[in-house]
Amino acid sequence: MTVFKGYLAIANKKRGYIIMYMIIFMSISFALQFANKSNSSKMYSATSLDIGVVDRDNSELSEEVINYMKTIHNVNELEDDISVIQEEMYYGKYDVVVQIPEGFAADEVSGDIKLEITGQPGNYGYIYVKQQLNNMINLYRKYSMAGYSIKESFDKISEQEDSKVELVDINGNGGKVKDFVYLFQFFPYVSVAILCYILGMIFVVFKKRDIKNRLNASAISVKRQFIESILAFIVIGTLLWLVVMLISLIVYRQEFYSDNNLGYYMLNSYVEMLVSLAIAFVIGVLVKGENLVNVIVTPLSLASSFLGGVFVPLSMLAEGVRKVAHFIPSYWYSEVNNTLADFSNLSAENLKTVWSGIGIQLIFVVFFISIALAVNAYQKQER
Amino acid sequence: MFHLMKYCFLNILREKSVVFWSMLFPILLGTLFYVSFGHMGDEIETINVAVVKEDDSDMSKAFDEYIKAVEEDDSEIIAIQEMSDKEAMKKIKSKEVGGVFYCAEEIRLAVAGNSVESSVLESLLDTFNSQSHMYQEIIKEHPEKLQEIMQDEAIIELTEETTLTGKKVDGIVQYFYSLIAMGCMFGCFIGLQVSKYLNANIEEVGIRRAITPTHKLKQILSDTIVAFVIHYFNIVVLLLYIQFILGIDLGDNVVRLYLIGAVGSLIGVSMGIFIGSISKVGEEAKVGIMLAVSLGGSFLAGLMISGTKAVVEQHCPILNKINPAAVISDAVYCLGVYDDSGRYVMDMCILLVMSVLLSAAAFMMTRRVRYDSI
Repeated sequence: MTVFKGYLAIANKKRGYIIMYMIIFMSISFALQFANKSNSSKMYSATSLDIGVVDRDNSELSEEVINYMKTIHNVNELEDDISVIQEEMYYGKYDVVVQIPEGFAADEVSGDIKLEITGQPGNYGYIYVKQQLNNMINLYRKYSMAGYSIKESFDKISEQEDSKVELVDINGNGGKVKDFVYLFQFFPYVSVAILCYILGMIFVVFKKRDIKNRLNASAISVKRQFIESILAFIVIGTLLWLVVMLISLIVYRQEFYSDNNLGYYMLNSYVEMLVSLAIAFVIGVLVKGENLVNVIVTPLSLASSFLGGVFVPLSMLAEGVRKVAHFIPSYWYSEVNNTLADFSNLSAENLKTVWSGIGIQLIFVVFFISIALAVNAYQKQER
Repeated sequence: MFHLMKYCFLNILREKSVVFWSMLFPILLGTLFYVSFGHMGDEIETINVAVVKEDDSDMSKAFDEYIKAVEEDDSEIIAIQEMSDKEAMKKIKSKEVGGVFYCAEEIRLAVAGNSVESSVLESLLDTFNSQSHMYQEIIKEHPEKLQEIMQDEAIIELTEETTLTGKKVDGIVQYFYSLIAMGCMFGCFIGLQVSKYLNANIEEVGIRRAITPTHKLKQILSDTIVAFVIHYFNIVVLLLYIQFILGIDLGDNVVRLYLIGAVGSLIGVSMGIFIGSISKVGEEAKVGIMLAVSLGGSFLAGLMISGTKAVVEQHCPILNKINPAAVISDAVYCLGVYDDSGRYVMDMCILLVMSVLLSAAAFMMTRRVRYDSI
């Protein structure tokens, strides 16, 4: 098993790199969990946002508007000093700043003078506030047409009870994505990045003329060398996969091992790991220098992750991009992963999505290996 | 000096991987950002909604009318299908519909989890409920006004989105701001390359240059200038690409924007030279440190997750003042989002001081080095 040991020895030398990637991977997925938790609860469900209000009108109407907002949100009245508001907005103290311009009440809500709403860039909570304010002031407008005073109108508006909304629990977690799913979501990135880099490096070493000549002159047959190298590949890949599973188990414990779809999550990620190995095989066959490995692997792992729904949810990609993404293996991985996260009890249709996704990834494995073998054979002929 | 610069220039250009990291990689990442988030929030897709009629009450009929009016509206927010409760449950579980409205004396909505879709549906229901409440009250207390109110335009737009300075800001833009910061910081790869030519223990070119009588300051100065010019070219290309090919708005103040690019390139390059000049550290470790500073810094400035910078500001504000990537993106922010000259000047000063300190430190470390045997 000399060849096998050789592969593992080289991989062992690159452990600093592996650890670095694992740390990046873990921190991104933890950070995303954190960001998503605070975001989703702020954006849609919990209706309470942090709002800063600048009242330049100082009328009875503006006061009522502010009081009404206070019943729903955390409202802070601000001094009319743009630079201070800017500073506070900049560092995310408020989700939304509402400015009530002078003359708002005098305009008798005809629509000429409008409330100015500024949202935190990247936070869409302001859309929600905008709708709320618009609805509220329109109601006031009609009440006042019917002859109610400002105070009476707002009393009437506040009487309105909350709408009845029920939650249908599809994924067994109240519609919220389980934490460990983020770890799985990022798995294609880390597996492509680490496996392609390490195996690419190993290939570069084994391509050195002296080593190649020595191997060719040895008593170990070419076939055996090939089998040993494949074995080493699979061992390295499986080790990486095991580490990720172990981390999920340690960090998420029950949430992870009691999930209905655990088996599918593991199978899907294992197959994805095989795809990464196959891609690594192609890179290894093609690339000659160490520097080049990194130059190819980094963009490749990033591009396939961006387009394959690893970094950005598939639903956010433009239609055209999503079509192109069908030709990227991680797209199918993400499809399966999303289905598993969305449905805790898989229907026949869900199962079809899952199995076809896994099947297509396996086809990619065969496809990449065939390419690698063909290129390899061609290179041998050249010499 | 010109001679020195010419050969330094040729040397750098020959290093393909340096050119890749400092120029092509930021452009590639920018393209990926654009492709992935470029169309975010463009429009919300039409939401399929199931409607289940539970009785024939007035409220139920009124809601039916309301929801049909919304469907026929130009904005195409929803598409409704009437069906039985059982069918609706089946469809919501397979995510074929985004929500189910139950028309009865009291209208109910069923959604699957919190999403943009469910909040849109919820706000539709809220609007209906508050309006019907209003009409009920008016019929009860001021029936004579009903006619007039019914004839009135349903809803007037009474709010508008602004930024504090009157400029509109897209949420995705900040990714590009931190991308520019990252691009500037990646100048450290050029800086590292240059420092190899300055240190005799790393590369043969360094050995040869170490035994020439040319003054060290002259060498450092010419190399730094060349590295800076090359990287500034990279950054200009990146800015032009982001602005004109991807069409991202980076503010109107072109001079100030390119000034940020210049100071940013300077800090990137001098950072690289500084790290490269720490003589006791091996090359792999140097690359590691550089990646940690440039990528780690960009991460903290919000390259990967928007809002990271705000979190840093809450817990460790000093970090935002000494992390060059954060300062660079801050400066771009000042131009694009907040028209704040004072802050901009402050940022530029911080960057300049840092570059000068780093370059001076690099010079101090290289100038007196003696090698026993090379």
